[in-house]
Amino acid sequence: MFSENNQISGRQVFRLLTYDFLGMGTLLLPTMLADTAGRDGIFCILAGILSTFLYLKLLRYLLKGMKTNYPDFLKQKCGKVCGYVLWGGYFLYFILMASYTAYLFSTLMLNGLVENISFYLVLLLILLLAFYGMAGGIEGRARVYEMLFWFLMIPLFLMLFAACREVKPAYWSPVFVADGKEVLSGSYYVLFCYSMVSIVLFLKEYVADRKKCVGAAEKAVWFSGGVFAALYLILIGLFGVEALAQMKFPAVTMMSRVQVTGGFLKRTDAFMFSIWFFTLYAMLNSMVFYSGNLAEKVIRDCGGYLEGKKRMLPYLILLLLVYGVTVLFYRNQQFLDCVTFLLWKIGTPFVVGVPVLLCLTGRKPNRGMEERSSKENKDERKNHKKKVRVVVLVCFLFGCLFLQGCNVAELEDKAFPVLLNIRDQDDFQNVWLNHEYAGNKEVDYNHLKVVLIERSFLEKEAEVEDMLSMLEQEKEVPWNAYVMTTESCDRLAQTEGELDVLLGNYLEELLENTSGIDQKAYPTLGMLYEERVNHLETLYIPFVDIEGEQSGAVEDDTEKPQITAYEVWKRGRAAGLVDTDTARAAFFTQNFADDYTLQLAPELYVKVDAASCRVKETEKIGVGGLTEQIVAVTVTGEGEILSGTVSASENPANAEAENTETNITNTSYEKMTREKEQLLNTRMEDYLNAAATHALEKEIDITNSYRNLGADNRTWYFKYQNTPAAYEKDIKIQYLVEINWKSE
Amino acid sequence: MSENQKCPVSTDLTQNIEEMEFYFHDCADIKKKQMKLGRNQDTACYLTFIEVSVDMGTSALGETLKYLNGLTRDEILCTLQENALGISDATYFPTIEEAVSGLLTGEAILFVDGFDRAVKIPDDGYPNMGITEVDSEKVIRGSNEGFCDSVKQNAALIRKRIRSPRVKVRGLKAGIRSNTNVYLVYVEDLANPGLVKEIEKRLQDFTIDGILDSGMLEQLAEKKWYSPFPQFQTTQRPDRAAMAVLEGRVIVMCDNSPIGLILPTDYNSFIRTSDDYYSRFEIATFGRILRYLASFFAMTLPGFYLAVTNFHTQILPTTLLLSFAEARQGVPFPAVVEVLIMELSFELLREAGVRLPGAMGNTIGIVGGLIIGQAAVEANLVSPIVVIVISFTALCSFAIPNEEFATAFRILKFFFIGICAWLGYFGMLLGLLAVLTHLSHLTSFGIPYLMPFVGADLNNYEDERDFIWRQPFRKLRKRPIYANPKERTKLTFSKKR
Repeated sequence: MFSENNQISGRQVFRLLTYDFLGMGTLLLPTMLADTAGRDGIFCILAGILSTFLYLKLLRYLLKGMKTNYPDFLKQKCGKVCGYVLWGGYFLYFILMASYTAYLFSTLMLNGLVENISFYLVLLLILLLAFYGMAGGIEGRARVYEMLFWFLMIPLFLMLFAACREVKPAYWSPVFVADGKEVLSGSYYVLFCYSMVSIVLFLKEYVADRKKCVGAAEKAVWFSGGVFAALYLILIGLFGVEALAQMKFPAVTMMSRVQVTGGFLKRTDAFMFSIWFFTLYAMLNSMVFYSGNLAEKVIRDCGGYLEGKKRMLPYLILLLLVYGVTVLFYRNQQFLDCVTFLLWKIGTPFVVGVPVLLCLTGRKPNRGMEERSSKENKDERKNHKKKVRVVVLVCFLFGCLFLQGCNVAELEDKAFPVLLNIRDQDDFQNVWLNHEYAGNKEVDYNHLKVVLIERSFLEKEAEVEDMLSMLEQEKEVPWNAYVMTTESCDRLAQTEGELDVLLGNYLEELLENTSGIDQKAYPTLGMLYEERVNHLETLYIPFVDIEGEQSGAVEDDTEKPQITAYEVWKRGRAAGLVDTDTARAAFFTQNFADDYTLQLAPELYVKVDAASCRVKETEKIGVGGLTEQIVAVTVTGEGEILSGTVSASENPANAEAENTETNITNTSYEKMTREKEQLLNTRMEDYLNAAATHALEKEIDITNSYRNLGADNRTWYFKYQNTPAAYEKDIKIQYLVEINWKSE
Repeated sequence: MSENQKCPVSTDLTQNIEEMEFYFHDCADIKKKQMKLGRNQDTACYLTFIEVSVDMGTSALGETLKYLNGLTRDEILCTLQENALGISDATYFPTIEEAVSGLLTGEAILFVDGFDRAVKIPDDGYPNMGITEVDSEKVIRGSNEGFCDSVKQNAALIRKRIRSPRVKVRGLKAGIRSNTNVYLVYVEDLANPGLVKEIEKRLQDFTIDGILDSGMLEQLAEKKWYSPFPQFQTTQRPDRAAMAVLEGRVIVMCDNSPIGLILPTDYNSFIRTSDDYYSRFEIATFGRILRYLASFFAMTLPGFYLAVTNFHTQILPTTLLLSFAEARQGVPFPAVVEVLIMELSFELLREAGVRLPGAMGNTIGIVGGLIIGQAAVEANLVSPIVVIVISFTALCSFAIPNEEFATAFRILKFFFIGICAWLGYFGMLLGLLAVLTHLSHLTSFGIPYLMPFVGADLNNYEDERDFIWRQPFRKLRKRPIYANPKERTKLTFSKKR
């Protein structure tokens, strides 16, 4: 009555195409763009969208002159032989794309959701489902995607939104550094992801209101383009372009790293796999559907006519073919590389180029054969149930043979370590192995909170590199586990009995709840992985020790681990210890401190709230006419004196006020005078400059300005791009404090 | 009983008696009385009826016999000829077979010597329970009147709510032996053209000996019979049926069944309740969101629990996970067996509760839920968290307003338990996609089952106004997609608001 007419609506076309674009695009595009065009990849996305949009204009023109379905149109336009050759080309493209998608799909599921199971089983289940999906025809498929659309897009947007909080905008710069060839390559990749837009030509015969077909495709291009652009910016801002270029599926990694506000769901990556599950499934289905469509037309041209249950036969054969090709991909990397190359270099130009050529050859189509295929479309999609049932049953039983993958350990048979102690390379591996095999429990590292590395080990560059490589490969080790260091892991472990909670939880809480520093300041495993490639950041790894031992405080009965110093992790390697004051100054400068309390003079304690530090690289002529490279930090915000006094006469700027010395306490004044504000600001500048200079002596830049060079100072960026080690030697840091001081 | 076998009623009463005896020999429940009527007692007649369905006292039959007794033979024949019995519902049957059918409807049949037709005189008809309160589809606000076993009374209950001559009740017979009355109720100008014919065709597509309940009709007329999801909506509520009729849908009612079938239907219709329209839109919307969530969790929650605890532990906070693990300490079964044990126990309790008399059924629920659950936890047969999961799942399934619809989710729950225990969250995604694909293939008389999640454009997105988010009543100005496209407007205001 209303449905079962093998026609879909404009909205369904939009959603169908959006799925096709998003599935592969979000998985592959960021890495490819980062690899080719780097930060300029965003312009490649824009260029790709615009060129696709123009291409759609061309398709609209072509569709206008097309009075029959696209395959028949090809035959009319190019002649029978040439038409069949083009059919063959499309068929091959669809089958290879379907197989590539199936391979990607299965690999992704195996990597992220079901590790200990056979690839063949995963593939089989996916293809079985695709076959069942085919039985409903294009209407059935379109309904699935139409329904799921917002159920998938809303979580995706929420995750992107949640990820925004962790984005470092400095990573977006510098732009306009890629050359034309790189930008063109990047744009081509974008076009590859949009090459699916050509299927609107095939879709034409299935769209109820044909005028809406191209319009829906345009909407899908804009929509998915927006998602690509947002995702790309977020991924660059999270991982840095170098690290991004080396990741396999960065969008998936992002999902495992982002923490959703509220804290109930710790990691949502498993949920977010749903997005790729459904989008890749949609892509796979589309490819098989259109290849099946061509196969049906070939059978029709040969005089055959498939109806009823037999109509599903070509799809079954095609899915078996896809299964075979995908298995070949899995077993033979060379074959996969070869086919991928073909798809990139020949497939995309083919599907994009054929319609262009058809437009260029302006011959009017022969209208003789039109409407011929519409009749057979009318009585489609009936009575495949029995065949589907039998196939599903047989395949399910066949699949059960692969049940070896279900080595599920019950919850109580698992151990969930929250702390991983690493002493040295051998010990590290032993610890890992011991965790894996010691006792009668299977170790699940998904809940690891803190990786505690002994300082002596942290300084061994090659071994740390090995450790990070090994941990990165362990998919269950969370990227957002904090990294801390200590002199002796064993000594800290002894305190566990004194604590109310597990040591790992205690250390995590120490960072998240009690330090007053934004948790983004503390290095995580993910940051360390990225820094191996990016070499941009100066990170501060908390050094923990038993309270009182280093600070000299009186020991009490319950000794608890505290942060007593910080190990600086400069551009991917250890750069020595700094004291907590220096680290706090660094956090303050990098806007990670909620509030900042410091001692400006004996018994003069001040607190700065809502401070904002702006870092700028400038040059000035210094002593002897030499150019000095200055990193200027302007500090603004609100401050107050917690205790102590300050004398206005101490301000060198107010030397003439020597005789009007006034003691100021936090209780004795209503409003701070300008002179006294100046005095406090000067004191604070001195304090911070001293901390910065002290750090610079150790070649540590507490402003972390190196990572911002691309955005702030292109000259310096290119100067130090290849000689980063010289950066800290060359610069000077100057603070300018403009705090508004107030009394309580 | 084909047309060419029909035997005309004879003017010879003896022949008619023989014919009736042919059909009703060895029928002790059928009374066959030969009498003399008329002032002179000279007119032989033959009265036959089903014993309990006829009241000879003050009923129309009694009055008719009294009246005929006061006439002469000629007057009797003349009165019968001119249909002047004074009974509005007297029916004349020219054939014996029709008379037999008439008798089996529970009325009395009178043959009069010299008169060539049998007269059906209406009476009490078959005994039935009468109109009772609905025991399912309870609402907080609105009538609680429910359908009864009599299809005629049920039709009257709908007509009572829609007093329009355009309400049509088309009668059919189903079952060659049971001759069950089936009514199609619809509003002439609102029902989509072709829908009534299509339903009629579907209901007559099969030949069966007997139809005893609308459930049998439903299963025979369904297109995708293997689907766990009902493609006919059922209701015991006349107000709901009336509402459906006003939406342009058709109600199929079967004699001896208090359940009416609403056609066509979709997922959203199963989630809606009558009082969604009697309550304010915020309350109705909140209720619907709850029910949608309930339908999802009733199917997936136990499977999801298995997927999370066995495969994707990273989703949960560590403390929660450790408490789960602690709760499972000492339980001898794997989690999947534990869940299955609890689920099967729950289903057993439910089944026992349904079969037992009312009060005992409640007792079973309490005993099962509280005592057995508690005992099972204390005996370490199951962990407390599984009890919570299963109880929550049960609550969700009870929150679904339609029993048949809820049953679909209860069955699919086991599918999800299996596939999630096997493949974790990947299995859950596979299962969800399979269910969704199945639902997208389903249609009910041409309406996609997932309306208006899909295909809302078919009705200019009007159906989305009465969806998860139920818009204020004053905004629901159009009828849903089921209605005749020419009669879509259902609400107008005299002034523009």
